[in-house]
Amino acid sequence: MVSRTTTFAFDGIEARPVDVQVQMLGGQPHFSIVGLPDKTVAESRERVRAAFASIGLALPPKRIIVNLAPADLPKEGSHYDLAIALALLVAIDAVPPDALEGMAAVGELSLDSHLQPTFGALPAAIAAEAMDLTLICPAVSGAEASWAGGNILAIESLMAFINHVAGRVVLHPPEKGKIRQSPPLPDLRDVKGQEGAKRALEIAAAGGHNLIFSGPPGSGKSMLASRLPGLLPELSPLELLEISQIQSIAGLLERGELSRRRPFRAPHHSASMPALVGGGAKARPGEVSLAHHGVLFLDELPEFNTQVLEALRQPLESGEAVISRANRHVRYPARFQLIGAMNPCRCGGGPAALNCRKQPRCLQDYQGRLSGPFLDRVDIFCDVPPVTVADLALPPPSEGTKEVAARVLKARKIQARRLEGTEHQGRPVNTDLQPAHIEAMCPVDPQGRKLLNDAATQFSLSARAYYRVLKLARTIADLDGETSIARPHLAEALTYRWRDPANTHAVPA
Amino acid sequence: MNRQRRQRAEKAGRAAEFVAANWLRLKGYSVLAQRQKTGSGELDLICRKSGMVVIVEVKQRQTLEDAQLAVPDHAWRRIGRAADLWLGKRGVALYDMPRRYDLVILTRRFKLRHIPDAWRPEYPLTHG
Repeated sequence: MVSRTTTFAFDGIEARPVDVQVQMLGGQPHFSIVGLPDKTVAESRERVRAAFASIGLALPPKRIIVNLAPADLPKEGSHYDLAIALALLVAIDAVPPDALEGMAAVGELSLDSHLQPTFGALPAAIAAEAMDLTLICPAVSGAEASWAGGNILAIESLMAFINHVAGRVVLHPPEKGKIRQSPPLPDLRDVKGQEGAKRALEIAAAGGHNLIFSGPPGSGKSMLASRLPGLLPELSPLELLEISQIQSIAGLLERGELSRRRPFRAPHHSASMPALVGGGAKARPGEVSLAHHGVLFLDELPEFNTQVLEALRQPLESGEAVISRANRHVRYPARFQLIGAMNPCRCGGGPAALNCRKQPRCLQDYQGRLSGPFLDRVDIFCDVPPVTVADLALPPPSEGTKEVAARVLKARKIQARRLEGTEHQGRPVNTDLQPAHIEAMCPVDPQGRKLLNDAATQFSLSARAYYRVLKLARTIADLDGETSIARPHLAEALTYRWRDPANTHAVPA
Repeated sequence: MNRQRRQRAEKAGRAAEFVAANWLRLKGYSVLAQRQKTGSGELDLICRKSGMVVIVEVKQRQTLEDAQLAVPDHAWRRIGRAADLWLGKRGVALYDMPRRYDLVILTRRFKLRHIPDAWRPEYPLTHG
């Protein structure tokens, strides 16, 4: 007889059902796991054997075959332990055969039969809920798994499950983790002067546009970028669920607590390609995926490895990070807003640059590290001038995060309403407008159209750049509450476009 | 090893197996065969109890501790292969039963201990 239960294999953030089948045959006693297990899964044999021994159960001297179906899907991770152990419990009649009906299980066993938390309890719980199964998971992961809303059985150890089935102990469904109260974010009011940069930040926040701040050291680029999360609206329940799944796979959900705040990821410029895009031995999500529905802030942009930056081009366009392996592709969602900060040149730009004898080569070399195709994907390129003493002496600005966030929220609501009922993919913001919708949703008045066409010819804008300017102008018009895009909106959008430093920033020799 | 010593060892071994077999009979095992030689190795005792084939290795040493350590892993593997071969020739019914490997250890004075399930193969030791 074959006893079976269900567990899950993770493919990106999707959990695919895996059928665990256990058969016991006579003949040479042996315990084998088949179905493309990796080393961690194969070692599950020893953990299961030890865990059984610790609760006084012995595996019978038979040929025990554990098959993980579908057999051609490579299995990795330690979360198969629990399902294998439970199916074995049924096979050796330690629990009645119907105990595992309608159940799925994920969890790692320790040698004393207690359960260790594993990555991915939330996606597994969501998949179990979709299949109408009860998920058995480690007690530690219970708070995380119950966010899926399905039936969860969180158990401390194998013995707890046996007692539960025998009716000696009744296990209550675990409680959901809390919504984490994050400490308050820094206020935009702290930034003195820099009205132009603040305006750019507001537009970027409203439309989800990619933005690069360029300015000398100490002009407040990082300060401005760190104020962005405060301007962004809270995550919608659906977005929260998506992000939490990624965090669950990455093992970042502590005590099952979720946060409604949009992620803000600021990797150091020494970050490698697997760290940023995802990968490594187990194809883990990278920073771009952890910044899904949030902000990826790259400080000192030109200092990043060129190849790493180029690798961002594809997720920026498609909204997902694809990690290719010899035998499969793993996809993680990666719809993030890119915010970059850089100095205009190696000596920092600003007053120091005026005395730099290497100009304009220094400027061109430094900015040349960012490739054209990469910059083509940036909607807003904003110069941040150095702060003067007069700026610092000013009283704090009247507008803070609260006022700007209210305008951003209003603009975002307009965008969401416009996209309602259409087949839109991606975030409900202008930057993710699809080509099919752009023309219909971005009506431009004749004067504006003429300006745009002239500019496109003069700056030889690419087709992508043309539409990106249009989308940016749409956001500016939304902030103004206008239904149609006018010439001033387009003019402002065009000023944010990247231009070659050789033409614009050149310092007279 | 000279001839005399070899003969003495052989005799002692037979005596130990005889004692072990009778001990197991008292414990309800039926002894199917004794001292079997196959192409892969030798089997001391082959028993049956409650639908299970029990392959028994008998070891006699000065102390029980010595005897317990006297069967290294490679020796067990040889026994495992020999058991598969021997049972394979005795028909499917016996071959397909659950199979256990036991160790019976004795001192020179026939102090005896039975260790059930003393070893399990790490990988399937079969002959195809």
